[in-house]
Amino acid sequence: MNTQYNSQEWAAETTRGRHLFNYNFRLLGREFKVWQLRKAEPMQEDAGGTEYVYLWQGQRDHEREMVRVTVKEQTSWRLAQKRLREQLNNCMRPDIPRGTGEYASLGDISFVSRDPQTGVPGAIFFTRGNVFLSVDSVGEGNIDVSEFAITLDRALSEPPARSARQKRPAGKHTAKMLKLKMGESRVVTKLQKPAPDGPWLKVIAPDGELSRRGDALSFTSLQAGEKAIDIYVTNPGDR
Amino acid sequence: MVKRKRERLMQITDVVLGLAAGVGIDLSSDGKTAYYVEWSIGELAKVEVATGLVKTVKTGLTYPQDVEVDWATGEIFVSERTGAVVQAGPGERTAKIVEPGGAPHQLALVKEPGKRYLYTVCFDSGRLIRINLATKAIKTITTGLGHPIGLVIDAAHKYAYVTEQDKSALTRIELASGNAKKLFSGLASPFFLAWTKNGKGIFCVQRDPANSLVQLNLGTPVTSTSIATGLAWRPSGVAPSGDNKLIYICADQRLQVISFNGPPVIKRPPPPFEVYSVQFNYRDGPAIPLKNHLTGTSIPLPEYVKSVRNEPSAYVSGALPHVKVVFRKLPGFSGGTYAIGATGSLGGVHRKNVSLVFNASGLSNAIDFEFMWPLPNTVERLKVLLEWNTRKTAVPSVPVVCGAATHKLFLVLAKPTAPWVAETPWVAALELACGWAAGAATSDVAASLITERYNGSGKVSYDTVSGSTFYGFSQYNLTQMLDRLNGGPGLGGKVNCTDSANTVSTLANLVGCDLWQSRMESGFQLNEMIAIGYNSWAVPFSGSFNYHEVAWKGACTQNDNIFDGCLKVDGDADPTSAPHTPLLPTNMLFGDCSAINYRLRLCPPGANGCAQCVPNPGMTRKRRPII
Repeated sequence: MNTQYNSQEWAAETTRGRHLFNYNFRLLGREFKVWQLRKAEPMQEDAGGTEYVYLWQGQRDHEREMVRVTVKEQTSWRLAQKRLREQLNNCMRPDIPRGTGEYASLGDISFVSRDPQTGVPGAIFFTRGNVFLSVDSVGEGNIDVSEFAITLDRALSEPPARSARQKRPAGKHTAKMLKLKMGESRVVTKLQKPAPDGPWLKVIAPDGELSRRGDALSFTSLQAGEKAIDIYVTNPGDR
Repeated sequence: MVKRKRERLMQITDVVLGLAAGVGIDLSSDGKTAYYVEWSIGELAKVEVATGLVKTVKTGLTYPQDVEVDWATGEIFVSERTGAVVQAGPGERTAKIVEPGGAPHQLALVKEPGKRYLYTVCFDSGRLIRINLATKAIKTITTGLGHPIGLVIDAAHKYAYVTEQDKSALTRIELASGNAKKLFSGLASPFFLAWTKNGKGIFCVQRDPANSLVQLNLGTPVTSTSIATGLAWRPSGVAPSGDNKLIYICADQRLQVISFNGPPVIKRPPPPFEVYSVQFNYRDGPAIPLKNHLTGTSIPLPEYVKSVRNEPSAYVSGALPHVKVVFRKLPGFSGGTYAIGATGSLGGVHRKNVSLVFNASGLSNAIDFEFMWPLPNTVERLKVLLEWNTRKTAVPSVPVVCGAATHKLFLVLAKPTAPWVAETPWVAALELACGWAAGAATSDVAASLITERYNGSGKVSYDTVSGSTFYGFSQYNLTQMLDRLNGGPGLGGKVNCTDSANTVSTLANLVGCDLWQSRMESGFQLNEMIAIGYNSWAVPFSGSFNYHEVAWKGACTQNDNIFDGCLKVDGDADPTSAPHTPLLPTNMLFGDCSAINYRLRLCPPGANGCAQCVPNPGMTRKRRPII
């Protein structure tokens, strides 16, 4: 087992991921143009929810161009990074390098593995907030999967695009104001049981940490004061 | 079944259906009645050959090979595979005449003034013997024959003519001296013999794959003429009518007649009932319960319901299955006792006499039938035909077919081990595993075959980018791997060692192996290898593995053997340098760093190679649950 993956270092580097929380995030098939979602397969399940694998095929050559996206929501960013470490430890390649250059800002923590012949990034592992993602080229040829990773990272970390939010029944935006003391935790919202056709909830805090306990999403403030918590609810039909 | 051979207007017609390994036959001189024996069930039956009406004459014989009738006295003589020659009749009487041993086969009755002799050849001992029926004295005419089977004695009682399986030949033996002379060779599995009408030729049955009848013309030289091909599978006995216009053949499952001037018309009555359902898996039975993993449901029982479904069953190899059969009444049913049995590709089921009672829906109770023979002692994916037949037992009657179906049976070497203890075995997994390991008689061979077939499947290839685990490291997603190996997308075409160890061990354990998934760790240098899905030698990942995982036996230590479906190592004396000899590690000792076993084939010697490649069963030995 590789011991080079230092999750304490990762935690120290993680800032934005602490303020983000995504819940019931699903890929529906429209996320990547010219790619066809072939299947969404549930894998293992734990307290954080079910891990899903999405298999995308290129429209020209299904066997040659195939990209696999693994999405695992956890109850906190720490557990997402634990899942990342677990993933890396189940790679036979030792010391997969951190994302650098254009990938340095990908996710909270990212690792990029390249095809030994072509040098294209054929596998990218990263976390964003409480979500672990792995994007792998799994077709006959190794292709560059960075567009997938970048698109997914944006979807998880940025507020929904205005056009999407203004549709009816549009993704709904609520700003919840919470006045907290330093170190105080408060429930931001109750969470529905995750479902494939349920809404995707994205919560962005200005600072502090977001995490889930049971069916409650909580915010822990690191500084006293009034905090505006942005809650975006996007239904599958809005995307 | 009727087969025509245009040039001679030859026809082959079924007279009796549903024989349980028919062998010897004897036809009365008037050509109306024949006796035949059924080897598997030890029965002697009598048939009126013009009508096909059958009556059981004797049961309880022990693997009868041939029947010879003294038509003048009504005495019936039967040779038994277990070594005896018995007299079965007249009447209920059955008595052992002699027990020469050596597996007596075809019988030949020779009458001389005041004496009757029964000649026979003994398959195992290679003897031709003469039995004096009055004194029961046995005289050995000759020895050293090569598995003799067929026998006829000439009219002058001077020569015996014998088929020898070892030589595929017809041999003539002088009865006075015992001298043997090979007359004709090149026969295909020759079996029983009969004289032609003029006594100058001999009919010789040839078993599978020929399934034919030839006439051997006893001139100089002896020549062969084809009489009929396309006989029912595994013909044995031959009995021509006096004018040779009809030649009766007793085959494994049918008694047939070869005719040249039109066949006899056998009027078969409509079946009195038909097979409605066949159940293989029943309470306290030997069948292994099965599951459809896609629906998550157990295979429905009975597995076979006519026109509704036909699901597979599974057994540990060597088991003797019973099936529970429900019959549906048809208009031809008239009550009474029926003999019901089935022939088929594994010998069918034992015939039994049954008095069926039908409920208001026209269905019978489930009747238990036992397979004729235990299942093979190997891993198999079998298609087993059962052709059911029946006839009334109280009076001579014509056997009729009352149902037929081909059933799929999976055979495994032992009860499946984990993860197939908590999980009911999946049909789709058995389909793949039993197909891959077909023919394996030991768990090592089965696991080796599965490793080889997985590695060579062409459906998956090694992930040279990161060596990621794609089919699960907490649970193994066998559902998706099956999809991939059966031509679907699965979870993509890339795999790593964990995926491969999961696949090999999970499928091997399904067929009764006892393998684990376990790792060697960590961060060790590598020799060149050929990764799954590739055909060139390479060292992945700039020379080392973070870890490696294989299917492993026992405690998963260096003293235990491994099966690695993920890569081929160099099998020659120096794995560290080219040229290399590809070797897929199957049942290979993991080993230490002092002798070339798996460990030194995978890793070079040294502190960063072999020494770092250490089994870690304490932390990693497992059998992942499947999803």
